[in-house]
Amino acid sequence: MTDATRGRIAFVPPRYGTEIVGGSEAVMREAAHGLAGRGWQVDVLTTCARDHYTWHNEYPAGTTTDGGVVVHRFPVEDAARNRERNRIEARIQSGASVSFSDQLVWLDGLFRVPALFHHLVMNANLYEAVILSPYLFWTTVTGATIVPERTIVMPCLHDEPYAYLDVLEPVLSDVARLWFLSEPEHQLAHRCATLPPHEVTGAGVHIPERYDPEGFRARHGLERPYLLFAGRREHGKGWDSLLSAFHFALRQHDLPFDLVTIGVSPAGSQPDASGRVHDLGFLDEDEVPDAFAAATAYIQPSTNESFSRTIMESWLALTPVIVNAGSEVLQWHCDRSGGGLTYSDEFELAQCLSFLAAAPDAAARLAQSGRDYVLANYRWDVVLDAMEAGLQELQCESS
Amino acid sequence: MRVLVVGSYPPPARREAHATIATVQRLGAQGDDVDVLSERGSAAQLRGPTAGPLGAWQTWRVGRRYDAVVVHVESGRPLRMVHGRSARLDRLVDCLAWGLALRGLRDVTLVVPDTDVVPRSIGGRTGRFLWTAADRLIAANEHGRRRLVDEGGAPEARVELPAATPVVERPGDDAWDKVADADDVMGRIRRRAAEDRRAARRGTLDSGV
Repeated sequence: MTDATRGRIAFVPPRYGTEIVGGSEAVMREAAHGLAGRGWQVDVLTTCARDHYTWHNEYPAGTTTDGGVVVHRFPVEDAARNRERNRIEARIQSGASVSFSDQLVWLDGLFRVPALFHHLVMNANLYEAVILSPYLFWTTVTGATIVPERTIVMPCLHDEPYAYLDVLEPVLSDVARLWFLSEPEHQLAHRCATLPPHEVTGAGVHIPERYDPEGFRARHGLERPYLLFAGRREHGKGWDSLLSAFHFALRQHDLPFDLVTIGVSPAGSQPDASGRVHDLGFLDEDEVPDAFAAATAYIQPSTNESFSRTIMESWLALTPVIVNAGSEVLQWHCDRSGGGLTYSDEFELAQCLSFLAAAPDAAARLAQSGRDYVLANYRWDVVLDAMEAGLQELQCESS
Repeated sequence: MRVLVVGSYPPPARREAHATIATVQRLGAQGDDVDVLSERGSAAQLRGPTAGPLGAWQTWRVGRRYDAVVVHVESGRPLRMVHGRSARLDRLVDCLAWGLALRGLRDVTLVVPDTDVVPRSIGGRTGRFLWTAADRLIAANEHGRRRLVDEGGAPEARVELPAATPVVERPGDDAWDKVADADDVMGRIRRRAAEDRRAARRGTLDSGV
């Protein structure tokens, strides 16, 4: 349904593009396109950065269009990790008390985009809603101060030390609405701040029309069955622990699996020397579903998840998932769907893999439950309906 | 017209920062090209000292490139909040430095939302040297306007009051009708509280007192 009079809205992600790896960035992009397709006039205000490790300006500044969405890019300033910020980051991670002024230094130290802020200050009245995500970046913290009564934040909150910083608290408490991706994220937010009106919208997942697992294996020379990890290979996403647990499992059981990864790594990452881990790097959007369909199972080792699109993509491809039980969100999805296995340590992961190797039919039944769960809850049309209801309520309040 | 605005800017988004945003939006709406100089707020295009003689020098140095300069008078800036024996001397230095700096710039406006934040007093010879350096002063209310004129020596014709800031319109107590259930009540309470919280940060909350 298209109705050109629905209103003008702005999405403000810190990075934007098809080649950007990140859950919140993907949800923001797809929601922007989805709402544009439903007749909303959508602007995206974002940075020129592509790499969240360097925050260097890689895209040209200026205005372009991406399908039905107008994209305004602004240059990042001060994109350099300084020693002072690293010191504060270490204190935050250790759970130590950090002063408000140090929190500001920490916030500013990664990157800042004054030109984007200025554009939003000057043009805020054009927008019926300004949608910001995720919660811990400069763009969201500063953007939320301009028209808070028309600002919606999709926090993508994790239970991590940042979530409890004073400097980030207004992002949760002082805006017009919050959109959560899962019920555990919603509950966590209640522990962090007094919340404005909010709803659990979830995130949508596109349903591929077809999969080509054999073609994917052939194109990438994958001869052995493999376990897949898709995402950023960094400590905070559980990559180090997965690698260690995978090798532990190989030593304990006679497992046929290799570990295949897709996505990005921090600069200077060392490749695994065992010959059982294959890094395929960044894949085209069209090829990602095939990577899931060709896998024996998908492993999600991260505890810092507010939704986890990748386990949805895996279930859609009828590939079983094995997730870190330390994530309330992942545990919640598995409990509700009856479609996933969870592990708390390397011993449990090893047993999960042993089960996969020994009972592929039972594993496939789990994956079918997972697919049914995704289709029932996370189709984009369902999620966009919830987002539109929130936007329309905001329009009513504003008028 | 190119305008330099000097004042607090987010983050954090305290009342002073919202006042600066409002100035930027007002100037932008009339077609001006605005840059912000702020000591701390990382959302500003320009960062540097904005208090004391250093702030005066920085404002003069940067402001010379602009057609107009708007300086927000806040707690601790442009006049430093100083105590002790040197307070009187520091105030004298600050007023002279800023008086000179502003006289070296074009089309200067001083925005004074609260005259009580000016350290020591509005008046005195040095205070007058500061206030009379501005081509225009904007006071928040009649009380502030009188103080700037009577104590600060600002020419009456140069001191203006801003267009009335709309206060948040809140439904009266009788708007609690048609309440469905406790969830409905709590939803309304949270929504109203959020509006009030935002208004308080912006300084537009009508306390009703």
